Formats: sequence, structure tokens, C-alpha cells
Amino acid sequence: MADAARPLLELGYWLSCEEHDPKALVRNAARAEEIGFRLAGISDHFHPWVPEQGQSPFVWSVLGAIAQATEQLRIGTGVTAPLIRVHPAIIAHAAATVAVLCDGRFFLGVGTGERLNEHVTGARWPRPDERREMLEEAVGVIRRLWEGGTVDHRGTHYTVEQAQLFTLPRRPPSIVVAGSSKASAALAGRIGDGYFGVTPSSRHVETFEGAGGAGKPRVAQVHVCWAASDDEARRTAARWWPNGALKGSALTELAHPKDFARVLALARPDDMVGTVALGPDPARHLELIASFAAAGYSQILVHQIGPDQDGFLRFYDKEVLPAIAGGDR
Amino acid sequence: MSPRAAWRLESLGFAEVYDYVGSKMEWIGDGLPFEGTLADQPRLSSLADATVPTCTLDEQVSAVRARVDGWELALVTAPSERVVLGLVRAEALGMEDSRTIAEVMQEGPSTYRPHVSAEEMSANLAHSPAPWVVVTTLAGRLVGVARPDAIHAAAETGGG
Repeated sequence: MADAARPLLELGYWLSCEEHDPKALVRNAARAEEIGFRLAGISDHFHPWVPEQGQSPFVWSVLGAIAQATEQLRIGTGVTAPLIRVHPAIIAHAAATVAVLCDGRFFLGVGTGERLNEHVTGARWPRPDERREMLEEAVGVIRRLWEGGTVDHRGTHYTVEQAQLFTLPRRPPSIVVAGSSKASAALAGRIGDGYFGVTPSSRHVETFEGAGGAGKPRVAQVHVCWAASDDEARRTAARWWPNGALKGSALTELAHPKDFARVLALARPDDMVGTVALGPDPARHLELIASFAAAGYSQILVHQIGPDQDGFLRFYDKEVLPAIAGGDR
Repeated sequence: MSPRAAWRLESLGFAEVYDYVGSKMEWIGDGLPFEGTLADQPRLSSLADATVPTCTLDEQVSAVRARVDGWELALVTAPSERVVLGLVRAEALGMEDSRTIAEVMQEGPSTYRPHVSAEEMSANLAHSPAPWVVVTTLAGRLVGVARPDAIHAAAETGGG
């Protein structure tokens, strides 16, 4: 993730577990590498956002397959919540194994999660400040296990007893911490090797940098929908990614894809596609990317909404990737 | 000097009295000498690095990229007065060569005045972390960019 000589701005490809079956995800990752992407992110969900999206494979299995289907693609989760559904010791185990399979091309994106994915074991869904506290402790547990010794930990939220990881990469993966609030951005600066954001706001990036993240990668996810026409793109985005209309606690507090569908039935079509770059005009896609670069993001992961990943990859190969100068840092 | 003091001095018989409208703070901010018990306190005026790269709104990304040279930012200024209009991040200079700075800059970055002490700024940064502090005069002219590390160090030592 934190390469010695990296470009000022790098585009990556987003693998949406909510929308694609595991075989398609592996095929799309390989195709993205083929056309020149060297960076990718993949979502870690138990459920899709809405039933229409229709998929949600187990990310660690998919990552194992992608590790073998690609050679140069750096890939990370966006993001894993190592808090409730999966204990941080198990995430440390899974991530270490994937990092070995990827020969160092893996980074672990972490965040405080959504109830949509984390409630399934019946555990209580804590408030955001408590989840941030849990994340800080979880990241500490993960890093200690990656050191390779036997770990005993009795903390506020987690217990680890005589645990030792025997399969470890030569270098531990970077941990990129997500956050959509100022408090989360500050936490990312304090404990992360990078910051993961979703809004083109310089305020959170600067908080991350000022809180200890200076010089570390700032990763963003952006949503686009390439299609042969603007109308088709608009229809596809509204059908496959209506959750784009929701913000803040609406995203973190609902429990089931059906709950999202009910809430989104009240949204207007324009809300759903408001922040998405739509259609076949490369200028719109570059405009969206430029807004995130202006805010200080160094790596921008582009999520093509809907099934037509090949069309998107051809379009970016010809019209968008060549326009990004990159430049050397 | 305040207008009231100026009038009082004139009434006492001083023939040559000037009212410095910009205030003592602008005087200090412009790097002019001053005296007093707090004169030795480190301030943003002495911590700001004036060599920060600058550019103008209509320049192309490629031209500015060639001169950022290790800096994470360039300040966007008006050509004649160096009035700060915005800030452009190095990452934004990774966009296509022909894009103009006006299209990739952040408008209206937070700026601080040169007379702010290192101690005051250090406390401010502890509450609201930031990677740099853009220092401008009251009139908005660029003085330079101060680094948080240097601000915290100066606040701790209290020296110049």
C-alpha cells in the first residue's frame, strides 16, 4: 500500500461483493489487472444493501481466489469490521493468510461496520463511540498477533488466550482505517497506516493527516455507472445502487436488506443517483475523480454500479485511465 | 494606534501623529519590529515557511506539478498581491495535464494571522488536527506555511 515511489494519484477498481457472485468477482479482478489497474478494493459484507443486489459471498474465500488469479494487483478490504460478527483474532488470521497468498499485495481496510452485517450473531449493536473504542482495541490485537508471538489479551472488549499465528507474511499488511466522522478520521490518524473515506471533503483528510496520518495513503471509494447512454446509466444506478441515497446513521442502523428497500421506497430517483458519475462522457467521471483528488485522496477506487463490468473496464481503459497523469511523488 | 489615542496626543501638542489603521497586529504580521514583554514569544510569523510553492488560477496542472517538488500542496494566489484564493493538493496535480488549477483547488482554506503565538496555535491543533497551517496577513496576503511539528516544538520551548 505505502510503496516507496508511488504516483501522486492512483485509480483503483472496486469489487462489489453485494452485486456479483464470487466467480465473477475473481474474473473481474483479473480483467482489471489486464487493462492496467494495479489497485483494487473489495467489500466485506454478510448481506447486500438491498435484495435486488442479490449477492454477498464470504470475502476471505474470494480474496484467496483473487490472490491466485492476479499477479500485480494490490487489493484490500473496504472495509472489514473486526468487532462483532468476527473476532479480531480471526480477522488477523484470515488477513495474514491472504497476505501470504498475495505475496504482500494485500492491505486490511477496517471500520466500525454496519448493523446490516454485524447483527447476525445476535450480539448487541453498540453506539458509534463504543464501536470506535472497540476498533482501537481490535487493531491493537491484530497487530500484536501479526508480530508472531503468543498473545494473551484481556481488554475492555476482547479476550485472546494463548493465541499464535503460524502463517505470517514477511511484512504485516497495512491497516487502512475508515471513517465518515471527524472522530473516526482522528482515530485513523492515530492507529492507521492509511485513511479510507467516502466523501470529497478535505476536512476529514486533514484531520487524519494532522492526527498522525501525514504522508500516509488516503483511499476513497467513488461510485460511477458507465452505460451506452445517460438514461441507461441512470436506470441502472437507481436499480442496483439505490442505497446511494442514504447517509449517516441510516446506513449503519438498519438491520436487513428488506429494511433498506422499505426506506428507499420513499426516496426520489434523483437522490439515488445524486453523487454518481453517470453515462458515457469521460468528463463526468474525471470531474468526480478530480473532486476527490482536490480533497486530498491519493488513491481512488472506482465502483461501477451494475452488471456491465466489461463495458466499464473497456471505457476506463480507453477514455479515463490515459487521462490520469499520475505524476511521481 | 487607536484614533482616540491619536486625538489625545494631538491635543497634548504633538504635531506629527499618525493613525495606523491596520493595527498593531498587522504591523507585527508584516514582519516589522516591535517591543514589549511578549515580543520574544514565538509566533506564526517566524514559523511560516515563505518558500511554499504558489500558482495562479489559470495555470495548468502540469506546470504546477513540475514545481511542487516534495511539497504536499501549493497555494493558489492572485498574481500581483499574493492574496490566497485557494489551496491545491499534490494529489490533485495527478489529474490530466491540461486541467486548470481552478478546477482542482480547494477554495477558501483556513488561514491564520502571523501574530498568533505558537502556544495558542499548538493548543488549537491539539483540538483540531491539521497537516499544515496557512499564514496570511489581515489583508489575505500569503506569509507562508507553518508545520505542526515546528509549532508544537516552539510552543514547548517558548523560544524563538
